[in-house]
Amino acid sequence: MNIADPLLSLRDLKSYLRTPRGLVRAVDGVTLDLAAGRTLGLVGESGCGKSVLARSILGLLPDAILQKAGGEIRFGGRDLRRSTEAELRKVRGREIAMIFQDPMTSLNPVLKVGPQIEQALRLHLGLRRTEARERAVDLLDQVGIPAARQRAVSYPHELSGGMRQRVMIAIALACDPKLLIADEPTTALDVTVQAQILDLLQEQQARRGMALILITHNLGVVAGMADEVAVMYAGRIVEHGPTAALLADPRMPYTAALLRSAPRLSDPPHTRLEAITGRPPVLVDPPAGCRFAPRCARSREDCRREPPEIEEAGTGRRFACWHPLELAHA
Amino acid sequence: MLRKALHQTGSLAGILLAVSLITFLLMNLAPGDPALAILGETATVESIAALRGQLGLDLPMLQRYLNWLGDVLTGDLGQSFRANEPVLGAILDRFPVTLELLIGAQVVALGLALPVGIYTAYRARGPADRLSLSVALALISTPPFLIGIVLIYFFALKLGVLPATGYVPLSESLAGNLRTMTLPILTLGLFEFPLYMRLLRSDMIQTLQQNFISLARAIGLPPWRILIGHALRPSSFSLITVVGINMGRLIGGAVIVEVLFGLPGIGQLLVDGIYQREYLVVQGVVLFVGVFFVLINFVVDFLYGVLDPRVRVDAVRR
Amino acid sequence: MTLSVAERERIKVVGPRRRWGDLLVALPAAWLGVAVLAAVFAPLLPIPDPFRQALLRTLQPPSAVHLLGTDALGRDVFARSVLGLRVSLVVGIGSVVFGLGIGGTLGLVAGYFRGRTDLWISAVMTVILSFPPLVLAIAIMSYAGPSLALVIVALGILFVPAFARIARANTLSLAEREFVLAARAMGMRDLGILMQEVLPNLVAPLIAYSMLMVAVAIIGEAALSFLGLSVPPPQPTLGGMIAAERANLLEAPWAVFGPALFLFLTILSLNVAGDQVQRRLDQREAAL
Repeated sequence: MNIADPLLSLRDLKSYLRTPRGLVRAVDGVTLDLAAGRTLGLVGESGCGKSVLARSILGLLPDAILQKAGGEIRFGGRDLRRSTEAELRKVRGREIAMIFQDPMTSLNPVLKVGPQIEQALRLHLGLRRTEARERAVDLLDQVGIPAARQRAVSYPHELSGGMRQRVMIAIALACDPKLLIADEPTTALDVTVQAQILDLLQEQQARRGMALILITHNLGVVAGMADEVAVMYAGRIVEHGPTAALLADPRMPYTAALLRSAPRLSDPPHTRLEAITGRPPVLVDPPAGCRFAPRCARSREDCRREPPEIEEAGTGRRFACWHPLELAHA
Repeated sequence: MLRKALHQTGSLAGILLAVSLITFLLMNLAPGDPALAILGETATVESIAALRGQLGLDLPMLQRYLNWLGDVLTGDLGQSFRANEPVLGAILDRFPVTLELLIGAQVVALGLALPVGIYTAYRARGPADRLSLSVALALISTPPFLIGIVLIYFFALKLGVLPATGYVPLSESLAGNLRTMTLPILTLGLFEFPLYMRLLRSDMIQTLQQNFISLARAIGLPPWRILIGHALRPSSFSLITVVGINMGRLIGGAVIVEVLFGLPGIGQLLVDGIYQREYLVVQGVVLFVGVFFVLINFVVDFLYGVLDPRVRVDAVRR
Repeated sequence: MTLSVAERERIKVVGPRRRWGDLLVALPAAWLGVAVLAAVFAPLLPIPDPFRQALLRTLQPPSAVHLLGTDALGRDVFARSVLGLRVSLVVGIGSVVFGLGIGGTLGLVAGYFRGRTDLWISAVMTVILSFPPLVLAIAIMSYAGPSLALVIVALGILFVPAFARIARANTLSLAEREFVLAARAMGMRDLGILMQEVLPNLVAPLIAYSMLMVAVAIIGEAALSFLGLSVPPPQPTLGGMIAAERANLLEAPWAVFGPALFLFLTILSLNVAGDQVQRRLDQREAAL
């Protein structure tokens, strides 16, 4: 891992959201590095702040909602957090692309598929209409859509969910981004299609040498694809490390609990994690100490008093816990 | 598809028949004798009896309706008594004026509502949004003739830049026509604008929360391209429907505006007909306007399907 | 006492907007209250005789005696506006009550019994909706001759379909709810269920809508009276006054803008208050 010169580097990133119920600390001090070409699996329960983190990187949260509470997003030599909207627009879709969770609603229903791919090409690469059209067909072909030329003039509702997600991937890949953020790319899809989409992502990533942040609540997905895994809980990274080591030897009890309750690819989306009792804390007014303490079997008095900071623990691993699990396989 | 078309055409025919029946009944069930109303209080018994015979008022109601309907279907709406001209001809002579007014008003209303609606949806709850919502509320609270009078007061009387009344046909002079039509069109357009603006704004606000807008932003598209290229069309379906249906509401407004500005349209014809007790003219205009209104709604229904690809496919599947 | 961030946020967001919202109800309510009182007690008010002509004092500008000046016949514009407003309110409220009574009943019946009854009622509504609203009212007025009762009916008919639609939709969903099913299971008769179980739940949505419709009805009456098709003279109407005095618009704008102001403020108040009531009902609905 090339720590010296990461592609993306988050430093103490805080994104608070203004909601009618109060200020939600959706992302509350995340520090993370990602090197070029690598895959990071970002794992956590629904509502842990994964999606807000992803949108924060691209500056997609509206100013009316987002309170930039602090931190840096360093990417390609600049701080995206302090970039203007115009500068961010040059990054979005060009250098960092994003795939959203629900392909059924993420494509414009009144535009044909081809033109929806063409717009990024024309915007960022300055292609002319005819060139863009050819490239769009080519991209559809690359993401495994049969009869790409005919499909390019289809409307989204004429395609299946899996096909729509392939279109979304084609849009994301259009300008050869350096980083692709996939936010639960398979959650809304049929089980049989999920594996195909993941294969496609892996194949394209390898071919283009881009970095990938794969956001999921599904550890099974991460195990097969990610080089490293970051576990997120209540707006913070609680454990981070190489995939194999982290899955084999979780140190933070939350990670262990996640693993025990790991849903299989065959489970329906958003299955409750039965092994973990209780719910994640409301991020309007988080607990003072470790945010997992109320649900943690190992928690003691000190856990509730002061939050543990995430600390290096050798061999590229970090975790935040006062009473970590012992290394079993070391 | 064909079955649906047949079904729609069938119900269209039914509605048109009902419109004709209502128009007929309105006149024939009204208290008082139309012949007496036409001839006035000084009429002799003989002349009234003669006119009754001429109008077929002695026949049973159903017979009279069928006779009248037969005439209507052959394009005969009767003759006006004073001018002694065919009613249909009078209507068709006047209709272009009304049509110009209606279309002009729609263009003005949409020309204002589109930019204002789009911008206020984009900057919802901002100062511009609050201001335009207040203006819209004020306009909605103003009867159309009052909008016209305010415009007359400032543009015709105070500034003297546009005429308050009068009409120059398009065939005579384009500039003259535009000068005389500007204030009427503006009046009716301003009457209609707040409705369209508020509708577009609220639909647009909903569209802007959709996932595909997030995707468009994630691609790096600038705001105006997202608003125009992505959000406008999915937000405009109900606007288009209402614009179509509102031709009817506008006809009501057009009557007032034509009277206020002295435009020789069918609204003026209707009101003159009422004042002069030309009941065949009144009946003719009401029928004409009713049929026009129903046909417009029919076409709007049809167009709606063409515009939304999702509806279009459903129709084909069915 | 310390406030959490959340509580402070809540206070900041809700505080001023709430007060502004209250003002948006209070001001229109005040105007409407004054308008109704003035309309009811018009004969008792210390204002000049609205019918007395003074041909030597025509088109006088506003003064202490004539608050809004005098018209082309030397009559007091303020006093006549008060009387005109009386007509506006009577017609506005009367026609909406007419529409609410007939339309509401039809909608209730259509939504509760459904089937053939529903079909017939819907057909009649479609026919009413087949005419441009104002043109239908004009047509009715032109054949029947002007009178207060007829204006109310002519405008009231226009509201029947809308009220029927609202009542029908609400009844349809209410009829499926547990408490109606329970009442039916207990052997309650249809009429009893309608009156005791369904009707009370329809009141709230219909009231808010009614306020907005009164505004529409007042605009309709103004249009009719502007055309001379509303209540006949010598009874003053706001639209009629504006129509009669618009020839003197430049010399005596008060004679036109005086009644216009009465009209505008009343309609605006109804719209603002109606919007606020609607919004609060929606919020209550959402909270349930």
